Amino acid sequence: MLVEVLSSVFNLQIVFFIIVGVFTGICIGALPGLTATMGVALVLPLTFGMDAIPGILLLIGVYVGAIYGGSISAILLRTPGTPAAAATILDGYEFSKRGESGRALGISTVSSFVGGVVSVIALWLISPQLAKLALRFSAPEFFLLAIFGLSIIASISGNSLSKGVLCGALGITLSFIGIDSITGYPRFVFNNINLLSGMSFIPVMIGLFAMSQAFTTIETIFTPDQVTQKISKVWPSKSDWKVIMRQGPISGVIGTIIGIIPGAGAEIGAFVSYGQAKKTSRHPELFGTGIPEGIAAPEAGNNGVTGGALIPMLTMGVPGDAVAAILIGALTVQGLQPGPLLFTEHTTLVYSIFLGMFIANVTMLVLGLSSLKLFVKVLSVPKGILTPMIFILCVVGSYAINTNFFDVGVMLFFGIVGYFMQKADVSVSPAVLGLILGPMAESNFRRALLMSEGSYSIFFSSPIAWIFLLLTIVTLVGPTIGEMARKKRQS
Amino acid sequence: MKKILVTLLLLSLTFGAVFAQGVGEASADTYPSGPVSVIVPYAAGGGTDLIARALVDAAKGNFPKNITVENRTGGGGAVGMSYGANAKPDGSVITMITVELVTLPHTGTGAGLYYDQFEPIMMLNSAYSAITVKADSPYNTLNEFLDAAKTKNMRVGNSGVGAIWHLAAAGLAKTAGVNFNHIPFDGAAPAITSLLGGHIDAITVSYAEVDSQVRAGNLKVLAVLAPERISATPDIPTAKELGYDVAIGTWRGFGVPKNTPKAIVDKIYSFFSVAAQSPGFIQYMANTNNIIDVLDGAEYGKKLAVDNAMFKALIDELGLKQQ
Amino acid sequence: MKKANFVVSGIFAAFALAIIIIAKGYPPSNHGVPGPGMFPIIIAVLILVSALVLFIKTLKMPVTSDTKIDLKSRSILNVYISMGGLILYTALLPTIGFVTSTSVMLSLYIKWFSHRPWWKTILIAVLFTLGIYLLFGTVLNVPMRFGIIF
Repeated sequence: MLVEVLSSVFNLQIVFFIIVGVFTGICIGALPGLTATMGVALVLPLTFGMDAIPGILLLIGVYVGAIYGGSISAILLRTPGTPAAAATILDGYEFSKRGESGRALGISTVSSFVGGVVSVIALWLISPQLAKLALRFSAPEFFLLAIFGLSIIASISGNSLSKGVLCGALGITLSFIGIDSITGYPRFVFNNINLLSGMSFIPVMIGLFAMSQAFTTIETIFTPDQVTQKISKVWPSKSDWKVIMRQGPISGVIGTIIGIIPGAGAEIGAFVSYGQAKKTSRHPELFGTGIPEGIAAPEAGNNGVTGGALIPMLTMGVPGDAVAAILIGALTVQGLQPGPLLFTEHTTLVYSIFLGMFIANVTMLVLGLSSLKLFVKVLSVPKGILTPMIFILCVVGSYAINTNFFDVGVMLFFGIVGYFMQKADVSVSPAVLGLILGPMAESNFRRALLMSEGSYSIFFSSPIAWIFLLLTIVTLVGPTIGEMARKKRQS
Repeated sequence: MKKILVTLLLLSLTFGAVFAQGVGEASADTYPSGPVSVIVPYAAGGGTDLIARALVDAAKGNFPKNITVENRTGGGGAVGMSYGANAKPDGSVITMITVELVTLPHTGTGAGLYYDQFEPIMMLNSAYSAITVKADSPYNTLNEFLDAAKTKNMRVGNSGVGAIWHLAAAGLAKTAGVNFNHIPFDGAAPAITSLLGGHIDAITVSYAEVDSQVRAGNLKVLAVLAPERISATPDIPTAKELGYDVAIGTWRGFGVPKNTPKAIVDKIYSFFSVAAQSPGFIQYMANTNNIIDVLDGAEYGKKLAVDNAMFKALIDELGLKQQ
Repeated sequence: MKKANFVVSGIFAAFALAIIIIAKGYPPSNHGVPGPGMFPIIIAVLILVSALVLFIKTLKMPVTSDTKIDLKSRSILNVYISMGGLILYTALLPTIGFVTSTSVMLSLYIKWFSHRPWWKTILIAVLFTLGIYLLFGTVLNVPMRFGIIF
């Protein structure tokens, strides 16, 4: 087994694809407006013609690279390259103001690596165990897990819960289109053969994330691009190393846990890690003034999500975040169904993913410390040329998935919808959660009742079901109780 | 207004795709005078796609102007097969047809598809349903299982409502005079997982799909719904031997649009039947647990008609017809 | 922002009503197992409630915290023009062919956005188009040959 895994990963072709993936990922992440989700969605069609292991590792490389790459523009331009890097701005840009952007980028690189490695170790230790436990999951447990994931919408919608719910419900509604998986009844297809098998997930994602963002870029297409300062001395100093080594592993673990929760992605991982570091710090007042902890925590946190998100994806076929949802698509295209069977029938593949992901993190560290100047150059590609090219990539990407022009229309439609949603301050992330978890909730709810012949007691019949029930209640009610407690203390 | 525009746009896209086909000359002597495409109605990388690609790879020497595989997915196979059925009848577009060709029209989700739109060239492979239970299940034979089903409501998992393995379970129940509680899953793998976890009583997916779990000692196969024993597993009885005359399975083959000149059909058959005997293809099929089962156009055409009638009756009985 | 919130809640409410009307015609529950219409109706009700909450909240929102959404300025017009261009492009793509329509479309956009000399613009556009064509068409076996021209 070990020999097979080593030989399947350590060959020139695979390592080459990992390096290409990480490199592309860092470039995509560094460019404001190109997110990790979009990067992985756009690279996905390239893997159709490839074998499973290099294909998946290429995508994982893009994922890992993009989550890290977002910090480059966060630190240098005060614009997060990906939403995951939004928390990095708080302290990162302060470094640049002092002319220490090299130091900030060095801290970010090493912290991302630490967070990523922690998550890969967690992935490697937890998934095989969870895969065994996953056999205990039946329809009621999957239903409650999906509901728990959907309850996360409440905590990611920020100031407007009703908009978050609207958007999540929109995602669920899209998932109704097509043949009903329990009765075979065609729903909302309006006699259109293209709608029979349902909305294609990837074109919707490309539209909502990539195309809508490209439209937003058009608004400022004629304002000159920002100029970045020169960077020097990336290698962290001794005292910075100390900070990274103290904060990195903790934030990595936090990120991994956030990643495991279905639906919660890297941006939440970064903010929670930042909050935790600030709360437990001896000098919380210094956060926001440009201290190393302020970069180490969110960067280790968001890269910690990468491995965590793969845990439920590989073991149960439940995506930990939007990128993991695309990776499920990538595996299915290869004829591989994520789930516990993957661990018994494709063991080599699973462990190759673990090892390949570790190599991706090492590649990220090496590229980050050695070639930062190159990535900063990417930031100077004029958006007037880049944006039209993104248009083409969106069109070709959504066509290539099913070689169906209908999907191109779907992509464009959701690009326009997504643009106006952003205008009305409606975040598109809950829609993705709804699109992924909605059908999982619905089909398993009805499948459970089919199995129990209509008896609702099946939803309370196992400890796993109870755990998810409690977690859901805590997620929904927790913030309100916390709020009340805080108000009480204040008064 | 915007809605109308979008609708128009979508319509034009759909029609555009239908009319945008390669051009080729319809003459048997010079066939193939242009590039030929093989339409696979399922996603790239899936079981059907890989078999099509393996065969095309073995046959490509006969197509000097290039032969390519095109995946046109959607509608559970209806999109790709409809596309292939409406192509020019000159052999430039060959379609991989699957058992869904004779099931989808009866569930009302075939979008006008019917098997007689195709001129069958040859059947390439087949896979029959295997009645599989957990290794520690109290039932050791099909008869024990079906006897128990008379009093107990057996939960039988399948790979999707109206899919071939659902019909297989229904066909067995009908022959045996029992009722199953059919539990549909999204594909075979989740059904197998659920059986392994002990949440359902049996599954009816193909033998190839449960092979590794049977070898690992986690599952056992009570019988296969095949006309005769499968050569890879000679010790598993068929349902027919046990007194239940039912054989249901999936198959894959090739077809061209109706009215394609007979000479071209024969030429494609000769190319493909030779390719199906090539060592590379045989090796590939053996590695992937697939069974090569070649029928010529005439035999295949008969099978299409027989299966079509059988599935029509089953689907009507199950109440799976929509609208 | 206020106006936008009203529009959002209105659109979603109408959307939810449409879903309920359609889904009411779906087959009913069968032996205690919910039919295909049940979840769409539940979700539609959820949409209605959220739209109502958003509507009331916005009504109560103090005027001072209102922000304006720009939907008509010059830069937004550019976005609308880009959308129109893309709709036209995707509509013509299947009939004209990939390389021709994409080169033309890219050239026009790049020229418009970045004011480079024509020869540079066209060079970038054609090279990028051919690169994508070769990558997807040849390396990845995606059928890219469609349309009348090329």
